[in-house]
Amino acid sequence: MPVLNWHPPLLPGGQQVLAERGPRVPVQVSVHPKVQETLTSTGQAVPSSIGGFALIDTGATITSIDQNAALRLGLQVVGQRTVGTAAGPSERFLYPFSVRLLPFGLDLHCVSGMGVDLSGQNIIALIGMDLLHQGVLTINGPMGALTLSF
Amino acid sequence: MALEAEIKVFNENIEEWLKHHSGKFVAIHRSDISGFFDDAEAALVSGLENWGNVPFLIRRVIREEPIAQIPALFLGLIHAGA
Repeated sequence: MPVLNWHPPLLPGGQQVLAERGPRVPVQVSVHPKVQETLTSTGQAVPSSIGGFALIDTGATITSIDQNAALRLGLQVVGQRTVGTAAGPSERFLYPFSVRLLPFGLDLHCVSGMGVDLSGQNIIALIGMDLLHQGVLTINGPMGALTLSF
Repeated sequence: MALEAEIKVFNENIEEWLKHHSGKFVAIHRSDISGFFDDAEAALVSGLENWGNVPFLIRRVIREEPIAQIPALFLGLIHAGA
């Protein structure tokens, strides 16, 4: 497994990004590669990927994508699942998609990620333990660095 | 509701499937079943090959799926910065 490091630049005030904003990584979300193959083989256009930020969330059991991004990518539903909310259990749709972690050059493929409302959060995806458990994640606070090995 | 027919098929067959396919992944479109697979991606590929890029259900053959948890989001605790 390759070991990939990323040292986010300091904020204008000199603060560490990880301390101020958490493990928020520039990403591009896109159609799952297997869906891309199907679209290409049938002569259909593959929607362009969408850029933004993803938050690495070790408290989340499932990876999620902003519902609006899922719509823009034309993702087709592959299921629905119950998620716990402050108001009680709630149903959400599941979609196949991919997340490219740009600073790491790493693609994570998610068959059943959850569509959620991330508007106003400055992120388009949350990367949960369903993907993170496949690799090694190290947060080096003093160095202000993230290390991934997948 | 999306996938209503597929979820009905799953619920009607889960007890029988648990006997022979427990833990596998199944892909269902309307009343058609593409098979049982060791992982979700294989089920996705099978579904795409059989039905194309349309809504279909991928579910693991287990009695009860755990409730997903995204507490930072649903408790309003995300502070991802501007």
